[in-house]
Amino acid sequence: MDLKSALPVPVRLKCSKCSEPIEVRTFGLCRSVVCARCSAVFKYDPLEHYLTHQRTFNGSSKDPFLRPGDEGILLGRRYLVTGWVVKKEVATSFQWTEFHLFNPVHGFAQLSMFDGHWTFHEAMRVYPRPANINDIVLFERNAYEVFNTYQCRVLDAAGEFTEDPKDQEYAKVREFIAPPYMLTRELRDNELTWYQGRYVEPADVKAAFAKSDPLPLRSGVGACQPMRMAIPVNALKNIAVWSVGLFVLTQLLLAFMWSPKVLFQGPQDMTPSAANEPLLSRDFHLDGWRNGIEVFLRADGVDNSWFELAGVVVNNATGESRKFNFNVEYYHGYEGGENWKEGGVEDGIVFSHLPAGDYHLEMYPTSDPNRRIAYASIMVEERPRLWSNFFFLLVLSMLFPLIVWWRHNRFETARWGE
Amino acid sequence: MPLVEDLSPFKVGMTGTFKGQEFKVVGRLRVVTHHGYRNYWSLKGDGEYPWLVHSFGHYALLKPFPGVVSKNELRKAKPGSSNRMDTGGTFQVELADKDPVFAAEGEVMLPLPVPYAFEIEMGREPSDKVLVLIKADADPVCFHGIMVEYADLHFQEPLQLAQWT
Repeated sequence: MDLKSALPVPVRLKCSKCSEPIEVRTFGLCRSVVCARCSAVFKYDPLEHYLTHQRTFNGSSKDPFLRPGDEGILLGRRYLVTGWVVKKEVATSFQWTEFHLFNPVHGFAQLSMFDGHWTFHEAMRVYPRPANINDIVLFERNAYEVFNTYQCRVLDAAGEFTEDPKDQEYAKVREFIAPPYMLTRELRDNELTWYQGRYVEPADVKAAFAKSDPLPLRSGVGACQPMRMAIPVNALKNIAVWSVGLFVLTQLLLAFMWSPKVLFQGPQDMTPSAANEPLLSRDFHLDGWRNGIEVFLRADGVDNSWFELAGVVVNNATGESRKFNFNVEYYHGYEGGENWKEGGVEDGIVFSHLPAGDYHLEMYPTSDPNRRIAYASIMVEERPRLWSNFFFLLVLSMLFPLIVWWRHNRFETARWGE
Repeated sequence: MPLVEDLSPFKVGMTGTFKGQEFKVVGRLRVVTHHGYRNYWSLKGDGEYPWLVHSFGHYALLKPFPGVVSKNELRKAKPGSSNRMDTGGTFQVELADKDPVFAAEGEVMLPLPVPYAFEIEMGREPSDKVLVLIKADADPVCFHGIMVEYADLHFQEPLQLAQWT
């Protein structure tokens, strides 16, 4: 569809400075015209169609992505590009371009572009309410945080405008964000205007105006750019809390249903046999299809010495065996005015997937030659509580929320660092 | 001052309905100030609103407002400040414009206090507006308005700007 045919034939004028043709498409709404070629700024008289020269911008920005006269359909509405303005923050070097869009039924809108990030702004009919906390404002169930406060300088412009583009320098601007939305408050001596903005993907801008030119490169994170595949922080907290809760509950349930059972416990003679025969424990029986046991050693006699117990868990019927090797050493003393200690007198090992049957332990003790151990306590426990597994799974369950949180944090740091 | 083309979607003679009540656009007062313009379209019909105001794609229906506000207080009103109306409710000042220039066409069903010297627009949620027109030698005249969408007005004539709705 030829959209231009829907508007009256534009007023055709000429720049008095460079003779470049100038078209005025917004008629009585237009107050100011800036020549696209020489950046001369004119006051426009809509009655007489007369241009009065006001000033000239330095004309440093002559390659905008959208040009006056371009038309397209953005966010479901037809727009005519009527002009663009290059602005710079007074206190910083940040510079951006605002493209002015016009629709005769819905009025003016702006498409701003900073570092390749595009935001569509429209004047609001209903204003946000202050939340009375940290300057946050509330609008349509979103809380908007203050992102920036500034005044701007207008560096360059082209096209037709409802006011002298330079007048925009008087506005005190405050931006609030709740990505992908942004609210902008512009306060002047005699006017307060709120704009609602939303982030627009660069590809959508290109498609809307059917442009074949390459898009300006996007860098950093845009002020109201949404994070892809983002999970809201509250949802993330819920996931983390539910994960931990679920694992704790599962562990408690398992502990309640399958409490550990001591198969045997007691002192065991640890005097090695002369013929290097193994020391034998008494037999114990396992019922389940796949059983888990913990063999636990406590050698209280170890004191500034060491003790080693090598051994096997043997299935009496099949002779199949599983090895273990306990090393305990415990040293302590007083040195340099301080007590110190190192090591301990306990060790243990867990065996899993043991078939049902009768078992016994075969053990080969070796003591520190300076302090021989005669007895040590051996315990075999069925269905031991495996806290290491619990904590491993707990950390694993927290991994997803942690990764998402880290990603979110990195994204927001980049956004606020701009 | 003669009227200029401002691409308004309305024309004198058009008919529409708002909440089931028919109206006809019979005239217009166009007010131009330093920061913009307003078209006060005069409506004839059964509805309670004698004015349809249009400016930069925003539309509001206006009717006289009995609220009394002090002229001196309003003269001090600044955009962003809040004003409590005698009839209750607080409105935030959005616009305070001076030195309006007028143009008109057709007939006017309810006169505005022309020529007024000062105009204050105030808003509050939801889409609730008060427009205060101050005539230099008289008490302020208030109008209460509701913001509407263009589509809410259900114009019967084929629209010249249909491709832009």
